[in-house]
Amino acid sequence: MATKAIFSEVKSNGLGYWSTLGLLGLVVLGGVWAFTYMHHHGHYVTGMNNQVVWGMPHVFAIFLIVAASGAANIATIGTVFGKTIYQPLGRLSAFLAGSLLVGGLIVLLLDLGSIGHVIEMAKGALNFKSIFAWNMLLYSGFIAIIAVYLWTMMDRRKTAKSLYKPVGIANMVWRFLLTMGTGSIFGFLVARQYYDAAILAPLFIVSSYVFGTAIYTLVLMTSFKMTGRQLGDSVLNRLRYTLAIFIVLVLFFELTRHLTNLYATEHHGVEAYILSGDSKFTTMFWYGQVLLGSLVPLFLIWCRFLKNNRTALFLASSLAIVGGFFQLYVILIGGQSFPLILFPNADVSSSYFDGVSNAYSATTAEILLGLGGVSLSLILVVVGMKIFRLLPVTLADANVDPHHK
Amino acid sequence: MSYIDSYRRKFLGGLAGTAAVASLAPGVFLREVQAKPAEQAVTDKVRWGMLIDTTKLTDGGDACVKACQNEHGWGHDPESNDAQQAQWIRKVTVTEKLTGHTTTLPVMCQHCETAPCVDVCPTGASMKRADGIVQVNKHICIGCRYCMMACPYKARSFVHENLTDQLPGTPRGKGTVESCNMCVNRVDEGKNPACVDAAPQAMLFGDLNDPQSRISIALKTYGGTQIRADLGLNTGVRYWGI
Amino acid sequence: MLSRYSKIIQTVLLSSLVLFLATGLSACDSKPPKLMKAVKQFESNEIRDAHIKNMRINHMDELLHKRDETVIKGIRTKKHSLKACINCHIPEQHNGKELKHTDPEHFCSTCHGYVAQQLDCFQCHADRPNNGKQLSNKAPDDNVHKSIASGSLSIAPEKYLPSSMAGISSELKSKLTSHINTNIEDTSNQSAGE
Repeated sequence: MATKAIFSEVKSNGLGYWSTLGLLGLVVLGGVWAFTYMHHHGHYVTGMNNQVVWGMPHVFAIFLIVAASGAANIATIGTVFGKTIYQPLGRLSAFLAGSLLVGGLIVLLLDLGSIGHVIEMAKGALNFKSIFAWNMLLYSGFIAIIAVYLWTMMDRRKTAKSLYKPVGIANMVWRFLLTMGTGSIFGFLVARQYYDAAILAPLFIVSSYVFGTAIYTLVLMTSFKMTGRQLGDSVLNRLRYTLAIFIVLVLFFELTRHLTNLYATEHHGVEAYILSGDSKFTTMFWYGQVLLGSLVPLFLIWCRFLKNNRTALFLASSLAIVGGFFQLYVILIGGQSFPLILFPNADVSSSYFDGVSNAYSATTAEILLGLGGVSLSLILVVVGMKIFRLLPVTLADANVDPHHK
Repeated sequence: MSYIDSYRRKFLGGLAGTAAVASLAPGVFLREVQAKPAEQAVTDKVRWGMLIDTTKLTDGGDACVKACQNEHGWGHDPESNDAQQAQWIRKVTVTEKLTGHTTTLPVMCQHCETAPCVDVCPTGASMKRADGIVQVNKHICIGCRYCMMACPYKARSFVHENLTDQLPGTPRGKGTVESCNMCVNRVDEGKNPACVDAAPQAMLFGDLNDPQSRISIALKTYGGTQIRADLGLNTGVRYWGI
Repeated sequence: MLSRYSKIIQTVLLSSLVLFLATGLSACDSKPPKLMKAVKQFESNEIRDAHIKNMRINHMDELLHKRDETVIKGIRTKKHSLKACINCHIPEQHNGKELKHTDPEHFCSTCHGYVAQQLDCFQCHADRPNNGKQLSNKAPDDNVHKSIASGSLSIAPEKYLPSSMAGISSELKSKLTSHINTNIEDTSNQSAGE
């Protein structure tokens, strides 16, 4: 029998809270340094070049943006699909989604070559044939919808409650558009062998569910542990088994994508390069994404003797996140590393790296910029928990599980 | 088109000779279309295009690359490494696997009619001028490099460092994307692009919309191959011999 | 006790504010900093004064508007040309060295440095006149000239006369031949030495 959820701010003021904030703050400072360094000198201080134009900052940024979309899914299940056990989880889910998106956007923004011209862009007209332009609207709109969504969840008045479901539906639709838009950044590029595929859009959607659920699980478990709140198995198992389903979905979409590519002669080159070449991308794909990021978490989740095991869930979520990084790294960097095919069935060479695979290694500044974005998102969540009543007082089985005896 | 007709060689030169009879003033010889008046805006009545006969290039385009470097001042940015150095035009050596036949050709921005770089630019900085020249409006370029991801010809370069020695005719700066702009500063003054003038025996520049222009006649008679023609971009730069 | 301290704090704050304003405001003068004399001068003082007045108020609007006209529409009158502004206002040499926008006496930097507003233009645009010289240390490449002179670019003008002009007089033929030679050299001159 589920009782009505009560939420409270995080009251703890102790060493745990401040050291978490302090550590995250240091990393954010590192990110600020990285930005000033890159902006002042120019991108020659990074590992990015004219062949691999997007690097580690973009891997981090796209990861955060995709994860943001998925993190809001927990709230959607409660609102749109009416599952009462998810409803107390909704506030943290929405807030986490907003924070992750802000962090990702800031990394993306700070990597721009000419940030000052963003003001020109705001004054002038956007080019709406560009999915980037659409994404700018989708991302900022998402933050607005999240804010309204949180209001419908937190304000007790009738107007707010009556808007809870419509805004939840709007959030869900917007999330789909946003993630499809992010996948289409690559899907719309006819030029490159590893992109130019409509399946990238839904692949990003299912990946967002994996990243978002995994991050949410980690944040929930950590915050409840550190604030001494009760977290029951029924909530955790819901997160556990949905994570497994989403991982399977990602594997399914990746299988479809690669099998289709392997059928078409045109794509044999890039598929061989990624799936069976000597490069680091092959290692990252098979050992990083498939093994560590998908198969091991599935084992940890479904293995019978690990049933209800919290460490296993924590590990599975962490590995799913790591696997997600490898997935995006292979898509982003691997896709750029494989050369453009101007002349098929020919050996090509030039002074501009035609016909050769392009090397990329991230520099410290790029990694710090990315980590700075992650830390900023986490700081927003940690501070948000303290200011707002995001966390339920308890998530013990007796209180939240509608089927509990 | 790998079989080169000797009549065609003379044809290209013959077109040049015919124009010589028509106008004997130096400098006007290799360019038929006069520059538009400075205060007039460009229109789509004209579509600028280039024809490159790779069989006539004895150096595969090296002179073109050098001429472009001299005209625009790229290629020796001090801090950038080789992979970060700008390259507006490059000489590409292609050896077909089955036949072993080798071709060298200069590859630059192909000035597509439906350019992917123009489609993906969020600010509209990557733009196509009314007369068909594809260029970057660096005033509004935010340096996101999406156009570089999108270009099928890897024609675009990003400036990775602070520049202090720009040539007055070609602004280029840190954090913006650049590429061959068909020497738009020269074209607007009634001149040919620098690469065309560096290899006049192999390159033609002219108005693709004018059926009487030499380039249009040459293309109509012998055709002209696009690189990556299957993408359907209708490039303004066409090749013979690839 | 608190009220006694608050009075002291208030006095300290107020007096430091007054001191700050006094020192700060005293440094403000109503005259802009002295700009260096332009390389070229107008014919009459009236035109010059009108130009100065217009530029002081409008130069940013004009720049923003005209740059779009030039880049997007290809309008390149002298009034639209940043090069023309530079050629008029920036000397080739100042005290024996080239004047860059990082030097405080540079025409644009005089005011922009004074009001501490960063100049974005010279991130991309050349900040000094060139007049046909290469700004970088690298000498203009002479390979194009050399190739033509040595014949290695294999231009044999006779081949370019169409066979259908068989009836042409030999005098016209030689005129055309030498004309083709001259023009190829002319245009390569243009491309290398701009």
